[in-house]
Amino acid sequence: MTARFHSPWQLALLALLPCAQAAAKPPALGVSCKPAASLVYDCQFRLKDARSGAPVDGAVFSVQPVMPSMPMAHNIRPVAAEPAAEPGSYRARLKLDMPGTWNLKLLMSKPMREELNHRMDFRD
Amino acid sequence: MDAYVLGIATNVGLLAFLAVSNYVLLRTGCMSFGQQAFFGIGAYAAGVATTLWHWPLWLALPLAAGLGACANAAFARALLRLGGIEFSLATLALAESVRIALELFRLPQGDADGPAGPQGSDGFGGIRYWLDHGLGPDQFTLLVWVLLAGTLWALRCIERSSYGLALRAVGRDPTLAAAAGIDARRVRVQATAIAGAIAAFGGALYAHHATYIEPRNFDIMLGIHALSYALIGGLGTPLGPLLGVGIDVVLLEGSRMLGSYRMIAFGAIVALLLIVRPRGLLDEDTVQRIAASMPFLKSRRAAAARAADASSLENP
Repeated sequence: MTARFHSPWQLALLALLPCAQAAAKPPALGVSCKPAASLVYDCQFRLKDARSGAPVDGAVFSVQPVMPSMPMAHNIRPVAAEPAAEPGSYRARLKLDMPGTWNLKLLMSKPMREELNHRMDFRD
Repeated sequence: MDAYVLGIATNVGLLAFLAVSNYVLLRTGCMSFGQQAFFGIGAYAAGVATTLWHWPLWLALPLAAGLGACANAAFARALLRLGGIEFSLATLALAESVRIALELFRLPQGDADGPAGPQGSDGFGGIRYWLDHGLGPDQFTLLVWVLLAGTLWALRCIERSSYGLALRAVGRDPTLAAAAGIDARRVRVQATAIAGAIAAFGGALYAHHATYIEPRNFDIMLGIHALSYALIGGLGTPLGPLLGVGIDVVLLEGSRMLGSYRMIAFGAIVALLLIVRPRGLLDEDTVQRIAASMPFLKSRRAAAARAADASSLENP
């Protein structure tokens, strides 16, 4: 990621923008995870177009687990997802800090800039 | 910049708002375990404003701050008759009540794209103002830090005013302050309003950073951490809470090899620091020593404020 810092005045102008950019509908997300080792999970992410239901191929995203009950305390490095064999499917190996309920945050850059969230229980 | 580093920088800035909120209360002698409630109120208020009402962020932020100030001041008016540990326990109970209320808070508004808005315990997603307005993560981080710097500067101005003097006097000895003609209860209610506004302002930014929030984000764990940050960092300067957050995050990230046990280490560090430094690393004496060693930092006004502070306490 490249840092593009702007002056506070530019930021203020950005905040004043009255109209949002036209936003495409975010893809529908399905997630399944299997334990690979203690607190390590192999997760599969299935992306579908929310309107047509067609698999979304060519997506680029990373996955960052965050713990809802301890917000901002667990800073786990985002893991890049790789395309899996099935259309619209991607996989990533996640290493968690502790068992519990986690929110998997997908930081997507393609085919659109988007953030998707999926809450899951992980029990060791 | 690396997304991981950027995420940590944003989280430190956001947590600092909550820690500073606790700092304001600690300066008036009140220890609250419930500032996370106002962080949550701000998060939900600003999220509803930008997501459901389509307000711009610059309007949603003051709305959240205003709501946080009113809510905290209202709580304070009811609770400040309690003293010490009773007040602290009451803030904890009230904060849990707010969290449970958020579990029940549903304001769904559906459209062709599906439901939006708070969905009780299922959370509140789609707070995508910065995504829709083309703000990058780096720009959002900068926005958080610019607003935090503005908040710290405003707090510094308040502390150097006569009102700041009253805050300190009430914090050290409310009976003595009352004898000097200060309405201690009124000063504390005003301070809680300021603290509520700061917490809610931070919460509003947090909601737009996370894009998804849920009631369990705002439970006791967040409140304990935020209070600890203020106590670790010190009560001598508004920069103390920021130092406390920085120390905690660096320690937690630097001890990843301990796995989940590192959270236990956090508790031990807080206990140890409070034994050694009861008013934190940057306590009043340390700040004065640092200021004395750096003459270019000293201002006539600050010296006058310190002298007045000392005389008001020693010769009421």
